[in-house]
Amino acid sequence: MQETGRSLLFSALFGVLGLALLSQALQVRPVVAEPMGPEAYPLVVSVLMIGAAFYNVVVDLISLRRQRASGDRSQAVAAPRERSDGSSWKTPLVVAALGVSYVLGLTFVGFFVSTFCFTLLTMVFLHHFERRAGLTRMALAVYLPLSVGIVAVLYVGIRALRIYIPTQAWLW
Amino acid sequence: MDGASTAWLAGAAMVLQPGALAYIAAGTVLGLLFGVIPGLTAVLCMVLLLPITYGLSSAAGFGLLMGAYVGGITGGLVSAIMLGIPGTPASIVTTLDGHPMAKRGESGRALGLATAASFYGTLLSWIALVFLAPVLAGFALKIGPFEYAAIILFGFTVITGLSSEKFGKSMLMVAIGLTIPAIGLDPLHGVQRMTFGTSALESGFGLVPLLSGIYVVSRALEEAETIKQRYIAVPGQVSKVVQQVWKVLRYWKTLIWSSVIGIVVGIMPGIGASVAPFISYDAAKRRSKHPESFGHGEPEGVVASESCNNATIGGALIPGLVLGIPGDVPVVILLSGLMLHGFQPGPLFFSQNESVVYSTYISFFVANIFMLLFMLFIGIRVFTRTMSIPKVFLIPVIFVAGLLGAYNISYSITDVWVSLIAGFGAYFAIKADYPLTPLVIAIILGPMLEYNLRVAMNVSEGSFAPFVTQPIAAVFVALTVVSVFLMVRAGRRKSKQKANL
Repeated sequence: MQETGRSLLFSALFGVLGLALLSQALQVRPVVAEPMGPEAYPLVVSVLMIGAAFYNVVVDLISLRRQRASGDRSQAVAAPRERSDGSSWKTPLVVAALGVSYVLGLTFVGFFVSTFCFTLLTMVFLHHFERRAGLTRMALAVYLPLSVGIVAVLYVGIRALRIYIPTQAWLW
Repeated sequence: MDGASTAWLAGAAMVLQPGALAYIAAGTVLGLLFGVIPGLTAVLCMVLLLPITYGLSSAAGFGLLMGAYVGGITGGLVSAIMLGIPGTPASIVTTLDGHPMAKRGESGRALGLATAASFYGTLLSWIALVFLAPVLAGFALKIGPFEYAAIILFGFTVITGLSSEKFGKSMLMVAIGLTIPAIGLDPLHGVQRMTFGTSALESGFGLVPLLSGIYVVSRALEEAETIKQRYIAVPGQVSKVVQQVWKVLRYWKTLIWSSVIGIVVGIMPGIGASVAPFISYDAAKRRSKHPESFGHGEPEGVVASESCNNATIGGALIPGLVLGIPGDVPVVILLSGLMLHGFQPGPLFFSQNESVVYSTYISFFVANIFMLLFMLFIGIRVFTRTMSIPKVFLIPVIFVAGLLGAYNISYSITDVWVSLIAGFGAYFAIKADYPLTPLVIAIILGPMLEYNLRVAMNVSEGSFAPFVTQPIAAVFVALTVVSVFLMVRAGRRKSKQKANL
């Protein structure tokens, strides 16, 4: 049932996005007279997106209704990944949040500092979720130099490929 | 000396250089490594390597990607046999007989047979590529915009029709994939479309950031879900590996049949290495005098699976190089690499860039040789130890490499944001059970479809008649209609079966 709920949300979101894109597509004006202008393709694909999203929404609503009516518990057995487990959704959420912070860091701070912080923090959080334990000095003794090492390898790799990559002030 | 001989020599001169050979070797090793570790795939490896190819010569760049492709498809057999977990989707079927063989102490024999079968399957598909691609290229030169548009539309019906249960979801992913490249500037006249008045969307979305997000960022998030998962290999010594190279020839009929199935399935867009082995395994079981032994450690099962999944490589390259229509997702990455170097895959690619085409053939052949040598003499013993790299280390490295790759193409932080958002979207799609393959193939084929449709309409002054009056276009339109009819019928049957249950 959880998967059907997610599918419904996904379809609905892209249905709304399709409507927004359709409104934009209706504003495209051709520059030369031609049988199929620049407005035709966006119109068709946005309508296709809306139609496919609507179809999936209907199918998912029917499926949800059937599941609720039958009190179907087999979903929980057939989808072991949906069992309630604190790490199963928190971990990717934390990694995603760290990822957003990382890109913000890349935008405003700098590459090497951001990458060092991201790798260290990600390893620390994943260590916590993996072992359900606090961070030991031993683990920190591994993660700190490892983060430095990853950044060092990237630095060497980027410098080695320098003939192909133009220098960016904040990159260095 | 005729044109083909000259082209072979030119291609060989490009590839048989120490630098290019080193890149092919590096790509093969990295591909094997990614294939061995469960959760990492050939596609992930190729997407991470794609930005690096931007600054390399075409021979080195394609060699790197080709090596990663061959290695990535092959590497999955190690974890399939030693862990009972496929390293890549292509090796799912290998677990059925490979893991039981390992459990009864024949891990070396299973690994050797699987590696040798992969080698011969790849070799046969290489032969098919070399002989069939020029023939198809000659035919493709007669294809105009109507035929091209009809072929692409048929390709979409094949992709969406693969699973009648997920037809609606595949359709939505195709629609999203067709829409994404339409955002930005119109390909013919440069008109702004669907930009919401934002300058950031005017240049559209880069292919590499999209692929990086869809395959790398989403994979990192998926791996984070199963952070506690531990892999334990079957204990025991790995021996009698090398001699399997000739012992596998005992199953020559299975090798040939499975490779043919792999080549044919590989040609069809969107199917590829994850589906083909099921077909060849079933066929081998039916042909066998002892079908009851399949699934309990039958060596022929391992041979059928591995030769087939590697044979899809050459098959998928045929429509990819000749028509620009990828037969499988890794070919999408290869075609992206071609486009990064300024080449446009399609019928003219063969006639205008013969040396590049033949260098691709030679890279493919060399990567196969490297794969066999690495696996037999080094890889099997080394890679069995790399399967257990903790995810705590893997996930941040994958994430950083993916985002760095997205930045590396245009040196724009916008691309990094695009990659991140595409990754979140792809992860959400996976959790909602939406397939990613139709999305990615639609992103590649969408611009070609629009371009050909618009040119076709200009030529015919708005008439759709040539779609039925031109023979090749009419055949593919008819195939599309038949395909849609079969999908609808299959969907109705499944609905009736569910209602009866």
